[in-house]
Amino acid sequence: MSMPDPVAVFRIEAAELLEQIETGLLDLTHRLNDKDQIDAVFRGLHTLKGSGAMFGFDALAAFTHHCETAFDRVRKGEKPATSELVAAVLAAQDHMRALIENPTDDHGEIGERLLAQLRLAVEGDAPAPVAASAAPVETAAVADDLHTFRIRFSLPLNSMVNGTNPLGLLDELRDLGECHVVADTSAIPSLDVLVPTELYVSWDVTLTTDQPRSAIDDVFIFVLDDMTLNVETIAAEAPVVKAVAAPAVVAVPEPVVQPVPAPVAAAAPRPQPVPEPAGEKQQAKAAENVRVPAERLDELMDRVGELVIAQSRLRQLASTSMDIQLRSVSEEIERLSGELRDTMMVLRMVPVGSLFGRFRRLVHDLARETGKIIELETEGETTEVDKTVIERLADPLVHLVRNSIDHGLETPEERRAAGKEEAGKVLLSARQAGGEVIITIKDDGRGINRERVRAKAESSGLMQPGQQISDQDLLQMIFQPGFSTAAQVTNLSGRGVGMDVVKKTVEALRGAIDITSKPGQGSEVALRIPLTLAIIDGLLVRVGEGRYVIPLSAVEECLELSLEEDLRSRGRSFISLRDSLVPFLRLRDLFRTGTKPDTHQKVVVISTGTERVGMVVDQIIGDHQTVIKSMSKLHHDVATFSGATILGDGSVALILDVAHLVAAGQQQEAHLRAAG
Amino acid sequence: MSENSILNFSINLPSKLNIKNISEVHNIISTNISSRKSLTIHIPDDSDVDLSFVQLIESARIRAKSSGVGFNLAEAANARLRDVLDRSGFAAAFSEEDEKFWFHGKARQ
Repeated sequence: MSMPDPVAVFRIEAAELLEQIETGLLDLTHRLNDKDQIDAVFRGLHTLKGSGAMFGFDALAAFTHHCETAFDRVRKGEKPATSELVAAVLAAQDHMRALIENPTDDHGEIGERLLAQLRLAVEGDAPAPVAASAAPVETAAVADDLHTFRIRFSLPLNSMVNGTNPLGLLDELRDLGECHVVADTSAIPSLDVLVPTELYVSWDVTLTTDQPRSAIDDVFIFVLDDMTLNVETIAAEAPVVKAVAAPAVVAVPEPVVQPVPAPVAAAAPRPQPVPEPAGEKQQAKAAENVRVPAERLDELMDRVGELVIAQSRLRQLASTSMDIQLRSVSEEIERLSGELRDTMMVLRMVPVGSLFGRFRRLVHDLARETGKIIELETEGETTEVDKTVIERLADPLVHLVRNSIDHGLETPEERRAAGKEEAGKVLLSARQAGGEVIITIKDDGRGINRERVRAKAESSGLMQPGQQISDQDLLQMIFQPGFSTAAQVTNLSGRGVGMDVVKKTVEALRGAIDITSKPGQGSEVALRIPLTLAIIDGLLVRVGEGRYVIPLSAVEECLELSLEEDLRSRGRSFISLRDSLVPFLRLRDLFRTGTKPDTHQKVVVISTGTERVGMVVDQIIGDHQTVIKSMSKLHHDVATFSGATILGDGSVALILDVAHLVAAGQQQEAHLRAAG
Repeated sequence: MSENSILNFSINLPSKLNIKNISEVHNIISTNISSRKSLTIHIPDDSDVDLSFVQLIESARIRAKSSGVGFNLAEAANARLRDVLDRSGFAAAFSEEDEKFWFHGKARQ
């Protein structure tokens, strides 16, 4: 197995850092005085800069340095945190992404423009000590007094390889005042056992400064949680210092050294080595999570899929054998492969929160663009979905959120006039329901104008003038290609491109879209997506000579259709099911098998939400653990099937596309009703 | 090649002597310090040095001392190396022997 490319690992970690920075910035937009958030953003920028420089992303490091400096000034209370600054750093953050993805491209002009914005945001306002308000006494009291601190510290073993430059930290300490630095090299091992990327050196520093104790913590702010730091005040020239001094020991469970209140000179004995290995805690933390490339999970999923198919063959062989032991082993393998499959499914699941997080930035940007006041709420972030679903849903959700904001939400003036709060709400929520995850985008805007939808549908030829269709069908018109009721085409939406793509994407995931809307109260779009795309429980059926799989989650019930009933229903294709008529499709006709129907055909009733349809098959073979294989590109346009699977005997069975078949059944019903 | 030239060995290190390729430098020194009577290393004047290299050399000194191998710098630490030794606080704790190893007894700037 090859080692992961360190640059690729950096890119992944940088992307995560940028997400954290973005979250911090967006939180700051609501609470500009939040010192914790200011510190968090600063730490993120600092780490990104350091790691970037280490992995040769010099342009990134240089650019990020400016943003870091800006936030450092905010952090120190020299400059206020303003929405302009946050917006400037958000924009700069996009540039950082580009510098990570394409470090060799010429980004100079954009970078300069962004830095000019940043400078304007920082220098454009009079200084207001926002961030410093958390510690006003300390800052004010000690400004002119000199203190001498003895600082002993050791960094995590992996700090150098993680981008921390110890020399940079020591330089920062020197910037605070007169500094004497002595390295403790006693922990450096012999060459045979040295891990050259690890750091074995610790330091003993004597610092005389007019800065408060907190300034020392600030030097180590981005490694403070993982390092060992001991700070003693060994001389104070003003009594006020004692009154404001922070606790001396940070992140040290036991005293590191005996308190010796004497300045350290060059000839002084080296400090005792820190008893607790700095890397121990780190290793314990690292053991809790393992980063695995997504493609390895996919490979593992493929192997599990093959195993499930092999197990299916084994079961088939065992079922025809009289060998008790073979049957016993087959059952055991079946149990184990089922458990393995379930475990694998859990591994592929990721919280939907990772998807929702992206929308905070989108909403922030759209609010600035449209002048609307928007509150984004999220619910059910911990709901887990297959990682492939998350990846594929990102773009459709962007379209839906954009549409909600652009078409749905009113301007503050319009909302006031309608007796609503100025701020429009968009709610993104997720919940699990059976084998599906339902992701909902809801707004409290003006709702969908049905008259305009109808007019547009009629003028586009999507429906006959005056044609009566259900409210749901009318609302579903917005998912038709090229359909848009927007009076104006904006940068956000109104081009009619997107909503049909949303529908196609969701259907490709074997999902469906429900839409509801109340005039003046808002709209709600619910995406119903299967929990997983890799292996499903299916119902194996036979139609003519062919075998097909119907996803079991869509199956409501199975009925018998006698030959007489079949003949009697010819031309009508409805069955009566508990006082309601359900249309059905004869798959034998649909697939043109050319075979005679079995004497006792079956109707498998399937549903997608409120719509039901029956599928007439010749035989129900039974349940089948179905490993989904994609259709080839040649068959990409065949809408009736969503994939294929390999059966225990090695033959192929096609998987029926439930959403498509239900739609076909409903269409057939509409035609029959229209024909009277 | 004489036996002496094998047992008293000298190597030219690459100019990149920092955390990015410290593992490679570690391999070079580890390989060459074994089965030698002495090892002398040449550090290029334009070398890009950081703390990981200084730590590596200190580690090599420990290894050499324990196995009786002579280990030396071909030239006194260049300006860049001196800067790292000073800023890192290594130089502040140097013994006479350390001074001799790193600076060849020359007065520091």
